[in-house]
This record gives sequence, structure tokens and C-alpha cells, in this order.
Amino acid sequence: MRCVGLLPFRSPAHLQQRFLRVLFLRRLTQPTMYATLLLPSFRLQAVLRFAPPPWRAEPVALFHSQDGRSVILEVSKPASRQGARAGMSPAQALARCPALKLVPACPDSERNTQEALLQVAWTLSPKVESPHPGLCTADLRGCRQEPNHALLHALQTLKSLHLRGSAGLAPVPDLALLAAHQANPLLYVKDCSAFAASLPLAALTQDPALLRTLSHWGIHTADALLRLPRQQALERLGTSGRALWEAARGGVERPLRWVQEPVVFEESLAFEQELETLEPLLFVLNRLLEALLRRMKCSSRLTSGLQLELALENRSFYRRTFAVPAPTLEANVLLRILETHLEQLHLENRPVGVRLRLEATAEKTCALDLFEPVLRDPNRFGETLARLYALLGEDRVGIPLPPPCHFPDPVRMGAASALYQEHPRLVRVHPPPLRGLPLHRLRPAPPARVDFIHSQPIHIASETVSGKIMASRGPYRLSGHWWDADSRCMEEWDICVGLQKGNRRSASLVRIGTPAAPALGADRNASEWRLEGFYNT
Amino acid sequence: MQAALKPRASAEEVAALRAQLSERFGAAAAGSTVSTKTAPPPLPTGIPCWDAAGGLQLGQLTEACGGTADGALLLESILTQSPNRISALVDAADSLEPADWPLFCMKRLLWVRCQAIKQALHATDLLLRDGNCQLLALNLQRVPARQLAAIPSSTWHRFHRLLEHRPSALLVLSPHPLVEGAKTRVASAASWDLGALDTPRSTLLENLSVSVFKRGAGPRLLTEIPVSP
Repeated sequence: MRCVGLLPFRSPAHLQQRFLRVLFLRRLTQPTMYATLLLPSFRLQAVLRFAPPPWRAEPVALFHSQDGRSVILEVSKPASRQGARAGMSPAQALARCPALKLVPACPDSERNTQEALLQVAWTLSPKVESPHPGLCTADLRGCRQEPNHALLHALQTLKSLHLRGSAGLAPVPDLALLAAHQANPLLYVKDCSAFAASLPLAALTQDPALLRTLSHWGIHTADALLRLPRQQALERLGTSGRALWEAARGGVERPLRWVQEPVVFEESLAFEQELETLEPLLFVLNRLLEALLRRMKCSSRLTSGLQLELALENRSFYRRTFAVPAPTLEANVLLRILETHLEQLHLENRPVGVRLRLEATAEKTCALDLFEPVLRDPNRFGETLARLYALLGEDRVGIPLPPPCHFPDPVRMGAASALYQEHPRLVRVHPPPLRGLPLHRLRPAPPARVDFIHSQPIHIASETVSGKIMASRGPYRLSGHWWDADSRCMEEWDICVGLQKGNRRSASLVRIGTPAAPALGADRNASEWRLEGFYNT
Repeated sequence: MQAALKPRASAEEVAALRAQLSERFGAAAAGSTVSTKTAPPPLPTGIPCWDAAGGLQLGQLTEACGGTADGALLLESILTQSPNRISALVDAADSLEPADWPLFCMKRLLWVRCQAIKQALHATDLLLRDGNCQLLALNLQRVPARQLAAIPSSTWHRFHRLLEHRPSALLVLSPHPLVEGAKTRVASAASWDLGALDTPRSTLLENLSVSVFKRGAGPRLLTEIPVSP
């Protein structure tokens, strides 16, 4: 008997093994591909990233000073056309190019730019090598996107970060680097041998002695080198010659040294002049925020906090950390948080630089609780809280907390930020039922004159309420803290004061108290009485 | 020569035309008064006669007049009904005593302690514009009468306008009728003696006599209509 049309039963484990086998075979058969992202004139680009656009068309040179000696490190293309070169002293460069603008090297900007480059490279692949700043090579094996499109997108992202880059794509990492040097802006090397053969030897090796020897032989290109008999040529050229020969043949595949550093989202800028008003600072902060948020978008993260640091002209710093109620990628929301704070800020010294750092958090996916009332816009709520703090003070806005003891101590308040933080749904427990009317406490408690006869209050006179006491309950003695220096013994009374306004008669329930309870048998008239609060008026 | 007047369209024709317009252009239909929005449900108050009169309406300003104890009891009753809701209390006289309030309904209460009436009105304005708190209470009960009289009426009109498009309710606790144009006014007149200080809070709420007045929607109904005595 035959079963027709029925598939043989496969267990889930069997199917999983088969799937992994297919993946492994596919990986083995997939051609290797490496992409290199290169930022030419990296240090100069890092410094001029947030400079106004006209600066990019002007002759600019980056210099570095050490031990009283300054050296030009990099020059822009307009400066190079007028004769300025790296390695010159600033005086030499200015002699050749009088309009040259000299800018000092900024290690912070270089570090931030390198971070930005790495974050863009990590969008291509998690396996990224960065042998030196301004250069990243990514292993594209397993990349689902078309390599060309992915690299073009990466270059666009670099452009949005105010960086000009080039990219090379090749089956071998070293050739991808060479392709990036030749690219404008992208070069895809399909035939390694042909591409390597077309290169000048100076591009393949940095050994000056070897290049000089080959130049004496009349060999200037890789193609010419490969036409020599291999055995005899390598015997004469040595180890460096063998490496050059392999590079001329298209290079060899080598494992990449992956970069595994914590992701930092930070940008900084030093101002040319001290800032006097808020508007230019907000303009700069907006630019920094936009660049940082683009980097964060590359990493699929959201901003959960901000750290602002202002460098002041007296070499001190103003630092402030802000929490973002609802993690976001919107520059407007973050800028509003900064603006709300900076509007209230008064500094003794003018800022000369700014550093902005974003705290990143993973995007959260959670099911919404339809029956849980949550804040509609936590970021707006955070901004409103900041405005309320500015209006009233941080100690006057919050969540009321019960007093720790039975004394009328100063008010305790919880942080209002707890309202937009995650907390479990409140479960209504059944507390002991409250009794009596809630008190409206007077802060501070005004003094009152209370007359006692036979230890019973009969009349009260104060700024707020005055009249005959119709009924009273007390005394209620509060004592405690006898174990420390804050030993207290208070006395309180609840009284009903008769009030007369014209023909209208009414009564008011009031609590009075004295901070120092009179001793037993002592005259209460001599005590200092205060009006603690009203139950009803 | 008198031009021949076209006969006026009947109400059915106008309604059909509006229906066609709204069907074709949706909410963008010019002059369409057909609202597809449903009013948000009111907030429960826990006071039977107030709930019977519609509860605390969202998007409206409600005034509760009466003694300080009455206002506090009303507010506590509303907060107790849904303790998970995020609410705000603008305390103009900084008189709230947290020890006398149920703890579970204060976990999500934003307490704004003001020192002057001007600060309280500014804080209320900020929280109304924020729109995150569904219930906003402005306690003016311990504010001196002279300061209350100095509040310009434009302040209340501004609050009305702010509330119109927001699903929030503003409850003003005042010693006497103060808010101009309040859609709902709750008046309570209870006389309390010292015995009330030992009575359970639930019994006090039951003894609270509350009258709810609603302002008519038509232009001629300027007088307040008692809903329940």
C-alpha cells in the first residue's frame, strides 16, 4: 500500500539542522567582498566639519605646536594649489600662500569624527577594521543589500554629517583600500589582477629603497613588474619585494582586525569668539544635535539623555545632564529641553566652546496597555516640568509623600520625573479608613494669642481668625525624638471658633498648637501658640 | 424690476448636500458642521448626584464652590475614583497636608506648591497647555478674597479656550462663585462641627450636600439650571 501525496514527516530539529547546513554552504560559496570608507584629509575635515561653508573653498592649513615649534600637518586643496605643503612651518606656508588660514589641530574633533565614521561603517557590516583614523574597511560577506547601493547610502550619510568621503569595493581588503584612494566617490573592482596591474608601484608599497631600485631598473608600474621572471626578481628584491609582488598580483585575502569599542555619541565645537547671547549657541547646538541624531539613527538607537558642557572663558566648565522622558530621535524635542534650561541660565563668564553628548538606549517595543492611562507626550511633560521648576523652584513641584513621623515636619516630595518613568500599575489596597476632615495647613504657621481658663481655650486672636471658641478638643500631646538633640514635645488643640460677619454667624474648625508643650499644671496662657491650619472655614 | 428670488433650499436638501460633501471630501468639506468626533467620557466623581448630572466633563472648566472641607472632600472623592490617572493639583496657598489624604491616590498626583495667586495661574496655564494631565485641580480656597477679586476675567476665558481642544478637565476649588462662564458649577454647603473630626471619611462624603448647576448651551439660556437639588 502506498501513500501518495503525503510528505515524509520531519521533526523541527531536523529542519533546523538542514537550514543551518544550507546557510553554511551558502556562506562557503558566497564570494568575498570588502568595502573601504576613506576620509581624505581626515584631520582637516574633522576640524572644519561645523565651520561655515565659505571656509571649505578657502586655503586652510592645519598646524600642530609642540615644544615651541609649529608644523603644518595638512592643507586644503586651494592651499595646496598655492604651494603650501604639509611639513612646512606656518611662516613658510604663509610666505607661499598669504591668504592661508591656520587652524590648530583638535584631538576631540578627530575622535568624534572617527566615531562617526565607525558608526557609518557599522551600518555596512559588524566586522569593521580601522587601521588608522579616517579609514574603515568592512567585510561585506552576508550583507543582504547590494554592495554598491549600501556604499552609496553610506557616502550619503557621511555627507549629511558634513564629511566628504570616498569608497572602494573589492574582493581583497588591501585592494579595496587602493580603490578608495582612486575612487570618486565610489570604485568597484571586479578584476583584481587588472586593477592592480594598472596601479603605480608607489601606490602598492611605501618602501623608498625598493621603489628606488625598481626605478633604476625602469620598472614604474605593477604590470611592468609582473612581466619580470618571478624567481630571479624575488631573489634580488627580498621580503619587501615578495609583498610587493603579491600586491601587484591582486593582493591576498587576510582576516580583518575588528573594532569593538563602546559606541559614544559626542560632538564638540570651539568657538572663534566668546558668545554673548543665546541665539548663536542654540544655532550651534541645533547643528550638533542634528549630526548626533543622524549618527544615532545609523545605530538604530534612541536618545535617553543629554549631557551639555560649556567651556567658559575663565577655563572653567558648566556641566548639566538632562533626562529625556521618552527616548526620541527628534531634534526639536531635544533642542527644546536645552532651550528651556538655557533661557533660565545666567553665567558669569562667556562660553568659548560646547560639548554635547547623547545617551543612547535601544528602541523599546512593548505592548500598550489600553486600560493604563499614560502620559500622551512625556517629552512635553518633561518640558512643562522644567518650566514649572523655573517658575517655582524644584522643591515646590513633585509628588506628595507622607511624613515620616507624626510631627508636622517640613513637606516631603518625591521627584515628579517618577510620573513618566515606568512603574507597575497601582493596585488598590484597602488601607485603614481615614477619619475626619482633611486639614489645610498654614505654611508657615502664624502666631496666635489663645486665652485659657481652667485649662480650656476660650478665645483666639490672630491675623486670620479671631473670636470666641465655641468648643474644643484636646490637648493632644506629641512627643518624640527624645533619643537625639531634636527632642520635641508639642501640644495641639482642635477648636471651633464662632465668627460673626455683620448679621451672619458662622463657625470655623481650626487646629492650634504650641511647639513647646507646657508642663503639667503650668499656665497655658504663657505658651507660644500658633495657628496650624483650618479644617473648614 | 425685481429679480426673481430662488426658493430657499429645504433642510433635507441641505442635509443631503452636506452628507454628499462629507462623503466625498471627509472632514475637509467646507462649512461642514457634521462632527464625527464623539465626546470623551466624563470622569467619575464618586458623588451620586454629580455623576447623575454627567460627572466631570473633559474639555470644560468646572467650579466647585464651598468651604475648604467640602472642596477637599470633593477632590479626594474624584482622585479616589481612578488612582491610576495622572492628575495635577495647583495649590495656590500651599495648604495640602499629605498625611490627611489617602496614600494610594497621591502616587500619581503632581503637587504644585505656589506662594502667590499669580504663580498659581501661570502654573495652571502651563499645565493646561501641556495637556498630559487628564484632571487638573486649581485650589483657590485659602487665597485672600482681595487677591481672588483681582483675577482678570480674561484669565478664565483663556482657560476656557485652552480646554476646548484638550481632553482635560479643570476643576477650580473656590470659596465662592468666581469663574466666569463655568459650564458646570458645584455648590456645597455643609456645616461641620468638631464631631466631624472623628467621623469616617466615607460618612462625611455621604453627608455632603452637593448641588450641581449646568449652564445652558443656547445663547438665551444665561441663567443657570439646577440639575439636582
